[in-house]
This record gives sequence, C-alpha cells and structure tokens, in this order.
Amino acid sequence: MSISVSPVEGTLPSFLPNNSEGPLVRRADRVLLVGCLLVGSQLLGPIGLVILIVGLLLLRRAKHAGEDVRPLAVTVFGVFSIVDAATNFLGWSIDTFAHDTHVGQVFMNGFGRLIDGGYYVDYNHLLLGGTGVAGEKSWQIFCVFGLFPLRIVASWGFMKLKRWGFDMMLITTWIYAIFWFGYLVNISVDFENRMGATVFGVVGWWVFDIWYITPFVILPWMYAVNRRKWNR
Amino acid sequence: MSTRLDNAARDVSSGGATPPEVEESQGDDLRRRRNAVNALAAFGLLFFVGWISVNVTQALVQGHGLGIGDGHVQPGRVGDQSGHGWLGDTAVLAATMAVDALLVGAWAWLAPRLRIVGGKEPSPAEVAQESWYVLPIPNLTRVLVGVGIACAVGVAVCGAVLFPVILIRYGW
Repeated sequence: MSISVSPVEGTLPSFLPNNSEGPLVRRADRVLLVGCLLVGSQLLGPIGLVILIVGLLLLRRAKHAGEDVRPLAVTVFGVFSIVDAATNFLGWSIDTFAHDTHVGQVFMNGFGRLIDGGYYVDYNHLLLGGTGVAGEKSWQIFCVFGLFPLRIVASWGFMKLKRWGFDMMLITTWIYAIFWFGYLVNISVDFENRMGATVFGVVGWWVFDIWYITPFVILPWMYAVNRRKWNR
Repeated sequence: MSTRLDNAARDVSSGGATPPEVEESQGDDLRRRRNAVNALAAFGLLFFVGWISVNVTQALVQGHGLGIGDGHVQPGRVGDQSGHGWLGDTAVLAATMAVDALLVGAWAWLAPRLRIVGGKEPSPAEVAQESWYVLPIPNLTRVLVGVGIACAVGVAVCGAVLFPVILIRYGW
C-alpha cells in the first residue's frame, strides 16, 4: 500500500491511509460475519440476527470514532447476500452429500412434506441421491459447487470494498437472477409433485422462499453506485 | 460509456467545470442508466408478482388448493430414514462440513486472483473525494435497503422455525 496522503482532512485518523479500514470496522466486520454464518446455519438464526445487530452498532461506533465506514447500503446488501447464500449452501449441501444420514432425511423429508414435495417423493431414488427431481438435482449441484460458495466469497469481498468483490458480486448477482428464472420454470412445470403435494402448498412455498430474492434487490442498485469506490 | 460515467462521477464529486458537449453526453448516459435501473427494479417486482400469480392459478386450476388448511401430501411416499447410525452419520456430516469449507476456501483463493484490470486504476486519493453514486437514487436505495433487511430477517426466522416444526409434526 503506497498511500501517504489523506485528502479529506478531519475525516480519517491520521495514522490510516485513506483506503484502509480501521480496527473498529475490522472488528465489526468479524462480528457481522459470525452473525451471517449463524443465520446461515438456520437453527441459530435468531441468535445470528442479534449478533448482526451488534455488528451494525459496532460499525456505527466506528463511524463516530472517525473511522472510514462504508455506506449502510453496502453493509446491508453484503450481509443479506451472505445470509442468503449460506442458508441455501448449507441446506443443499446436506441434500447433496448427507442425504443418507438420519438427520438429513428427517430434515429433507419434513421440508418436502411441508413446503416442497420434491424432497420426499422418490427421495434418494436418483443416481446422486437426495431429491427425487432430476432438474432440482442439477440446480443443486450447480449451486453447491459454484454459485453459492462463490457468492459468499464475493459478498465478503464486496463488503470489504475489494475491486474483485464488486466484480464477482455483479457476476453472481446476474447468475442468481437467471437461476431464479430457471428454478421457477423447473418447479412450476412439475407443480403437481412439488408445491401441489405439500401441507402448505403454493402459499407455503412462496412464504418460505420469497426472502431469497437478493439478486433482484441488489441488481438495480449496483448500476447506480460508483464502482471506483471498490478499490482495495 | 463506462469511461464517460467514470468521468461523470469524478466531475460530480470534484465540482470541476465540464465542457457543454461533454455535459450533454454525460447527461444522456445518466438518463439512459436511470431508465435502465428503474426498469430493473420494476422488472424485479413484476417478475415475482407475475410468477406468484401463475403458481396460484396452477394450484386453483389443478385443484390442489392454496395450502391454507387444504394442502395434502402423497401418502406412502416417504422412504427409509434409518441413516448409518450415530457414528456413521456424524462422519458423513463432518465430511459434508469439510467439503463445504473446502469449496468456500477454493473460491476464496481464486476470486481475488481474478481481479479485472482495466487501464489505469484510480488512486485512493482521487476516489476518496468522489461520491458513492454515479446515479443518485436515494428513494430507491431506501426501499431496497428496507427490503434487504426484511428479507434477511425473513431468512433467519423461517430457517430457525423450520426444523422445530418438522420435529414437532413428524418426530425424530
């Protein structure tokens, strides 16, 4: 790092180069990451939410202490994207790798009967095990090996104002938006065995899944921001 | 196009004078961008409203009901749930977590090394003076941030509630 001049006097502590984050921001980000992972674990979601709030308060404290803090929107979209990707990544990796375990079957078959029939009808009957719907399995493999781990990484880089973070965030946001389209075609074509074969039906599926709309929320905003700010 | 927008960002932030023809061109770029951003936001909303309508129509036409007290599961379709015993299951779950960590680690190694380089990078000193937005959309940003927070809470609550509901309803 070869920065020696702080161009905006009074906004940064003198010991910080102007594109570095201060110790309070780094601490707040670590807390936010822990919160994201706890929410991503599903079971510990409410505890994760509390920790996320603590992280946001720490960021506010860092701002009051004069550290260079990114806008709230960057933090919210970064956190939202990590939470979204981590939750899906965990759920689908269990169906991909641990579909033969008792807890995996109880969880997936229960989810299937409540929300999405693809997770109990003919479960563990295909070559790769897990969901009995071939289209679902192909989306799953695509997301577990590619989209979701990359999106977790991209969101973190995005929050840390890395240039690669912004680029990867944009790439994965487009992929995720297009994924949504393909996924909805897949589930709607097989409606009878998916939403149509559950306790909570179409309303249940949408109430459970509507929260994962990250790409559609973030995409318009990403084209309004100044990409040059992501320069670390 | 991106260069002109970058220039626009610099000019907005520095407050420097801009020649009229450049100003007009930047204005045109920004106007087109604003239209595209608004179109993306509107499309996102219409996409979900449209698709939910399609699924609700499917449910009603095919006689499945909406799932509010009238949902049903296909009987006898839940298979064996015995697993591999505590030890075997623990090993599989641990391996799953290890593979997950490996996948995230692999992407975390790769992504920073694929930084896109496009000409001269701006110095941090230049960028520090600039606005965060090339296109100010304060109202839309407020709405999107609100939706983002609501969705993060929704993911956390739905995720946390799911497994206990499964256990209560179907047992271990």
